[in-house]
Amino acid sequence: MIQLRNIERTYKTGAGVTYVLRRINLDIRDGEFITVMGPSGSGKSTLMSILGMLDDSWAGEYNFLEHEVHKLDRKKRSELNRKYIGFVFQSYHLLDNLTVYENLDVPLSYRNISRGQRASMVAEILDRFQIVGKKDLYPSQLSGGQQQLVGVARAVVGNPKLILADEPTGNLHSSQSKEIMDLFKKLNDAGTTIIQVTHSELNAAYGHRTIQLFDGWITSDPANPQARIPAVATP
Amino acid sequence: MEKLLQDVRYGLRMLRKSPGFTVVAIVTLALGIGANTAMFSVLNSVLLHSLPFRDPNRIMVVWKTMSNGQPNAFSTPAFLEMQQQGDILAHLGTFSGVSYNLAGKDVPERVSGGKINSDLFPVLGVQPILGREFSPEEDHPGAGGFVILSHAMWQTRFESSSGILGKVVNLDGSPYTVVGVMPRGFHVLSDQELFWVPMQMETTNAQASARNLHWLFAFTRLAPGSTQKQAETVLGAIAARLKAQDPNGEGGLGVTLMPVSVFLNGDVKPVLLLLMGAVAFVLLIACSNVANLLLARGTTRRRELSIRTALGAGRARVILQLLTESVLLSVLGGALGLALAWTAVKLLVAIHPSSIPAVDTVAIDLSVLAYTVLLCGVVGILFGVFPALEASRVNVSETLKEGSRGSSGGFGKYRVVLVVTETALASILLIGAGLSLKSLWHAESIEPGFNPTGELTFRIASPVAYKGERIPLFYQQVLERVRALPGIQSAVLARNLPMSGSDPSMAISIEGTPPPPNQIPIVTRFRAIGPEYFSGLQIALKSGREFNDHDTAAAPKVAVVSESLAKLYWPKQDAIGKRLKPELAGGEWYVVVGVAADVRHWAADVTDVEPTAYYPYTQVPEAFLPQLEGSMSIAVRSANSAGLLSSIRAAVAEVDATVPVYAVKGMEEMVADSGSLRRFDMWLIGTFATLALTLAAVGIYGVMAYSVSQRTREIGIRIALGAQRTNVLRLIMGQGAKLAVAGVMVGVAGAFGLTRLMESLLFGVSARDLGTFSLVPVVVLALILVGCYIPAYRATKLDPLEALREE
Repeated sequence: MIQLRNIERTYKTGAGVTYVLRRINLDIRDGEFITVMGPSGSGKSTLMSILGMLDDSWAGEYNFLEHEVHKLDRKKRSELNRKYIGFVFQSYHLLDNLTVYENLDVPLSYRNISRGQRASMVAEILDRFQIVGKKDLYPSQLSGGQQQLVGVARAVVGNPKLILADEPTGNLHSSQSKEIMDLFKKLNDAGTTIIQVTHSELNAAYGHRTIQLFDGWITSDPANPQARIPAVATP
Repeated sequence: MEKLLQDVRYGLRMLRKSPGFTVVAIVTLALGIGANTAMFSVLNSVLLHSLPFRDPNRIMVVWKTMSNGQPNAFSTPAFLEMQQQGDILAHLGTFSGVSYNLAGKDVPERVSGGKINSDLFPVLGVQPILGREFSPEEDHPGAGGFVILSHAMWQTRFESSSGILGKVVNLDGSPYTVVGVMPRGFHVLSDQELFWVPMQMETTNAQASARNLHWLFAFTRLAPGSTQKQAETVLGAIAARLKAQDPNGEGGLGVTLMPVSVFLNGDVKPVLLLLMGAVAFVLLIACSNVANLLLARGTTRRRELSIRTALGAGRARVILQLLTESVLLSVLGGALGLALAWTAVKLLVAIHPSSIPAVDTVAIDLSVLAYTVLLCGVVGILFGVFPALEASRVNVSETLKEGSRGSSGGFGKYRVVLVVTETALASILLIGAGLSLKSLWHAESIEPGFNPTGELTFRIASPVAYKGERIPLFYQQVLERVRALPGIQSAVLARNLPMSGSDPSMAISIEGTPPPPNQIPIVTRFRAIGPEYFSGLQIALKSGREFNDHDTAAAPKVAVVSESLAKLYWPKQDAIGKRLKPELAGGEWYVVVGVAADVRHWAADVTDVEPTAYYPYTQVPEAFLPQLEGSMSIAVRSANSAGLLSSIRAAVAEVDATVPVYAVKGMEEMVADSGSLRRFDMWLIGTFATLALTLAAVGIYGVMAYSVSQRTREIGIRIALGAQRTNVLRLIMGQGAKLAVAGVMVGVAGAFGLTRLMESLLFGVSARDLGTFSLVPVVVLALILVGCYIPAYRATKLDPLEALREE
């Protein structure tokens, strides 16, 4: 599903160039549940942004399904994002001024889907996540776990092939975390590819494979035993 | 459409969620849009719709070119000569104001109207709503008396009777058959016109043959597809032909065209356009303020917009959503602005100067509504586009990254441009207002040359029973009776009093200085006045004497000249005893017996004083007598004018009970009226400039407050590192001062170029007046620094620990 080849991401700073990701090579198959781990500043979130087509300032090759992302312009990448990818964030990032129902409708409203069809898709997801009774509430009226439930529901509502979850349980207590992770497992079992960033070993255990990042390098990838920091890592 | 409705719904909800922002933005926009709507409604009524003619842009006033190159109305011979030239001159409509006594139940009423020819109404493109226009046959002398009534006269004097046609109306004792009624609101030159009678131009009497009596206004309509320039080319060819036929004839000087709108609204147009420009500036400043608010809000909404982008919203979609919100704001601002404009229009109509035509018809009508709707759309996009562009340029991954710090607190290029722009605009407006104020101060301090205090003026017209040389006798009898009234300090008589109207300009000959061939003749105002005119109006007599009761028709012909005329034609000489002759049929030599101070006859603030020759009304040439027959003015000075009018009416009735006293007005009021347009202009531009400056100061306060809120962490660190309160104050104030200075400099440069557009409206002050250009920047800078001080002061009060904990 995903092949990354020599992906590099840099930031210009006053002193020169700072590397955030270095020579990233990664293969992810359809239906996999991948965990990305690593200390703060290792490049996890940047990697997720690149995978989610939210970041354009990288170099290298990125193949997504049958698309050569590195050759696509912003508009085309945006289309891929809309069509195939769902996001789940640590801080939920629900829109405060929209109800649960409206939050679920937002990603659909950016696709070419009729109002009637959207209504039935949202109704289906509300039912599936058992949050019908909360559809008219605003995010501030929900608990953290409930908000993340809506966050996941929002990521799923457009039937994405890939869900990118950036520390999805980072702000939740353990029972809420388990609930969300069980949900991811179910989604994965149903065929959705999932990539999660987490610091929790417990959560990582839900995945098929864990990738370790350090200072922008992949230091461990079970599918790629050669992955390691080169002996002389020059910035 | 569905997406738009969704954006509107969401936009309304967002506005409700931030009531403070929404109220400030709506009120700011309402002030800008309201001021624009109010001014546009004035412009719409006065300039665009005030002319009650069909397709008025095609109607031209035709002026006779004088030998001094100046345009003037036509004399009878000149008009007839031009009419014979054919082409667009073949159907010249003509008009001359007239007033008659309309026979009533007791004393007749004096009513104003116009003498017109049968071509005038077709040229103006207006037909009677009842009856018919005049026929070409009715243009000829002796064709009989016919009258077309105005709608107002038909309504008020004849109860809108449908059987009015064929009825006979008595005007100045002669019967006139009503043949038509014109539509409501129609008039030619003045909304005082109540009737129109056929011109029936005499070609044999003294007035008709006088080439120096320019009394006929001429109008023509451009042929379909023809432009003013093309018509002028045709007229140029006619003039060349006439010049070839008679090199010294007047015809060769040709005629010039002027759009009727320029003729009728020429004075008011630049004032209204200037004010329209001023409110446009106010609106731009309001837009800058709201744009700044939106920019600040865009920063706080970065997270929301990032989420939307992450969920699949393209940049165009985000921009569209933000623009929908800004247009929503401007529509709400526009609705409140309309209400403000409605109130402002009521106020404007209440304080309007008499010199603005049709201002009482100013109203918020459909075209004004359409303008406001259009304005809301444009304004919504104008102030929304930059913030939308900036806000849509989100770095999604950065913004959504946990613990992201957000903005660095810098101004941002848009914000800098907006602040500098609004300061510049406010400076330009304030310089304009300063020049207007100085101009008004100059105008108000000008001495008109006479003392209007306690003067009551009125007009009377000699009755038809008095003909020819008996006309002055009637006025003399009235004057004597009015003078004899108790409490009267003085009573003077004149064809036209200062401030009350024009007198004909006329070429004169100066004895001993025969004009060389092809030289511009000496043209002066011809003013016919009564005895003790100068002492009565307290006009200073520089030398010689004024007229007295001995200057009768039989006495030697005498004249008094104005100081400017004496200086012009007898420099360094005593004018007394010199002789001059008005170039009018029957004109004789008049001996100068007095030199009087110059009087501002047209208005108190007219820059040029006109060289003027005064003649006793008893000694005017025969050709001028019809002018006196028209009417004369009397000015009466008394300590107590209460109850004076009834005794004046009784005094006039003693001479002839059929003569009405009309156009009663205090002279002080006339002087005030003459400067009313300037005061109106000054008050409005002053109001707009104050509004602009307040908005600019508030806008800069907003930007500074925002900047300080974004720099809380930095300021906290600085204070924690030992910065004194004065250091912080200097840091913030310095940031604001830099922008203010840049804005003021741009403003002064802009004003330097723009104020010359108002040069013609200024009096006694240069458009580049150093004092105004020096003072205004100081005032603007001071006010803006006050706007900066409040957030800067708050910054000094920051608790560094608290500030750092926020991060």
